[in-house]
Order: sequence, then structure tokens, then C-alpha cells
Amino acid sequence: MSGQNQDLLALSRSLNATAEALQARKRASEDAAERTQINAQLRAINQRIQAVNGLLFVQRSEAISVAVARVEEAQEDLGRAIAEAERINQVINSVTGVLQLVDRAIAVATPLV
Amino acid sequence: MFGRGLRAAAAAALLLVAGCATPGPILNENVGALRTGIGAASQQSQIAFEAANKLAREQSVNAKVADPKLTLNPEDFPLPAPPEGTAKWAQAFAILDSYGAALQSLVDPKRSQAGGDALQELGTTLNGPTLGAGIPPALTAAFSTFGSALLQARSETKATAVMRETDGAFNAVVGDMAKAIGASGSDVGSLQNSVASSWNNSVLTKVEDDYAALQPTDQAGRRAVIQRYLDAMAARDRQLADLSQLRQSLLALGEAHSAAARGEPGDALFWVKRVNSWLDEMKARTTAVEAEEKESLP
Repeated sequence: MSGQNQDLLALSRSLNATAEALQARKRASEDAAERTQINAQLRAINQRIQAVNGLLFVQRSEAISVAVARVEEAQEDLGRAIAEAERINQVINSVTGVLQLVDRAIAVATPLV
Repeated sequence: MFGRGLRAAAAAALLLVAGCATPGPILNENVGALRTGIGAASQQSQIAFEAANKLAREQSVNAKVADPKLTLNPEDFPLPAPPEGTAKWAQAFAILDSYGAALQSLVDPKRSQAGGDALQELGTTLNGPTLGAGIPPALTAAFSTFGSALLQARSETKATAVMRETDGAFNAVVGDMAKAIGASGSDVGSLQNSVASSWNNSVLTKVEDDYAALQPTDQAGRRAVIQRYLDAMAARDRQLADLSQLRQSLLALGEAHSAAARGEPGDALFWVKRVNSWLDEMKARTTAVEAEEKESLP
């Protein structure tokens, strides 16, 4: 993914690996006190995973902003096409308007001739 | 002479237009469906972010309360989807939606109809007393149809060209979003990873400690804690399923855009229908969780 901080990703990977290792050790243990102690450590690691992954989420969101700018450019292109389509209608209406004006001017002038 | 030539030209043009204007309704329908899908995925993401942040916040508060230290810092309450990130998502969805709106506006048949009407008015004026072009009324109507279809075909060609050019960028945006959500709880650094960690390394560990603190003879107490443990696992699986569906919705939006750009009938609609049904499922699950939480309150 573009714009991803590899250091943060490595840190998250390391924290996840530590949590997995602790979970495995806890499952292997029958000692309630040891299990409780491991659980406290897991909760502390979770707090850090949330912090690091939160930073990664913000960075990934920045990358999304950069990518969406290209879609925004296309939107400008579409805006120009819409304006052009409207201009065509305006031109036809203008020609009609001018012709109608000329008709009226001629109609007014005719009895005077 | 003039009338006959013009009639022949108009008839030929109408045949030409009839041959080239067929993609119109498909494109119009696909672009409309795409916008609906963008709106649904945006809602899905908001629900998912709120749920992920709420879970992490509850765990942070529990951790702080259990901590003997008396210091309090903003960093003690980290969020997996911080506001500075979610604001960027909202902005990105708004841009995708206005891109869809611009496409919809360009291929809107009302615009080309207005052009056709203007042409008909011009034909009527040409027939007026001054110029006296002598165009048969049936042909001024043909002018309208021909002009309208020609303008519509021109707009659709442009819209399709823009969609094809933008397809890579559109898919890059939704692809990056899907990656940020993650494919599973073990997808390191993703939002799914944050949520899975909150449940596995915090919520469940707390219930395990509660269980360990009970006397072996307290069977009713044990039963109640086991039920909490099972409920927590089910809630974890539901929340991860929501995130997986959000990821699928984002990828489906990319598929819908590509299908619309190819002008394939029904393909975009198929994907958007799936996005909508996933949003409905997600809303139903969120409502059920909220109801359960209310019930569990003392």
C-alpha cells in the first residue's frame, strides 16, 4: 500500500507476535496466577497495538486522500463536459432568440414600408 | 427540393442515432447504482469505525482504572480509527459521490432533451414569416429527436471515456480503503487486527480473570461467567464479520465502477445490490448488539 510507514508496520507485527506467544504460553499453563499475570501483560500489549494501528490507520487514510485526488481530477473533466453540453443548448437558444428578435423587428417595420 | 433533401438527411440521421444510442439507459442506471453503493459503503464505514473506537475506548478506561499510577494522559486512550483518519475517509467518500453526481448529470437525458427542444424551437423559427424555410412540421420534430439523441450520445461517449480513464484511480482508492480494513483479524496493522486484539487480548482476558477468581464450588457464578465469555466471542465474530463485509463492499464498488465503465448491463447493479444487502445486515447486527447492551444494564 502506498504511503505506508514500514517502521510502524514492523512494530505492529512485533507486538502481534508477542501477543501470540503470550497467548500460547497462557494456554499451556495450568497455573491461575501465571495466567492472570499473562493476561495483564496482554492487556498492556493491546493498548500499544491500538496506538500503533491507530497511527497506521491515519497514514493509510492520508494515502487514500492522495489516491482520491486523481478521481477529483476526472470530476473536473466531467464538469467541463457538462458546461460544454449546456453551452451547446445556450448557443442554439441564442440563435433562436436572435432570429425571433429579427422576425419581430421585421414585423414591426413591415407596415411602415 | 429543399424539403425533400432535408427529409432524407433527417431520416438517415435518425437511423444513425437509433444505432448508436442504445447504451444510454444502461449507463444511466449503472451510474445511479454506483452512487447508491458509494453511499451505502460510506454508512458501513461510519458504523464500523464507531464500533471499533467504542470497544477500544472501553478497554482503555478499564486498563486505566486497574492501573495503580495516578497520571492521566491523552495517549492512554488510543483509538484504532482516530478522527483525523476517519475525516479523510468521509472526504474521500464525498469526492467519490460528487464524481458519481457529475457522471449522472452528464448522462442525464433531461439535458439532451433540452437541447432537442431548443433545436425544435429553432426549426419553428426558421419556418417563420421572415426566413420561411418551409421545413415540414414532422421534420422539425425529427430535428428535436435527432438533436437530442446526438447530444445524449456525445455525453455518454464522454462519460464512458472518463470512467475508463478513471477506473484505475477509482479502484486504487477503494483498494487502499479495503487494505486499511484488512482481510482478517490477523492482518497486521489493519482495523480488523485492532478489533481482534481488543477482544482477544483485552475483553476475553478480563473475563478469564473473573472466572479464575471464582471458587470452584460457585457453579452458578461460573456458569454466568462462561456465558459472558461465549457472548463476548460471538460479539467479536459479529464485529469482525461486519468489517469483512465492509471490505467486500469496498471491493464490490470497484467492480461496479469497472462494470459501468465497460457498459455491461446488470453487472454494476449486481455489485451495488450486494453492498446494500451487507449494509442492511450490518445495521441489523448493530441494532441487536445495542439491544443486548441495554438489556444487560442493571
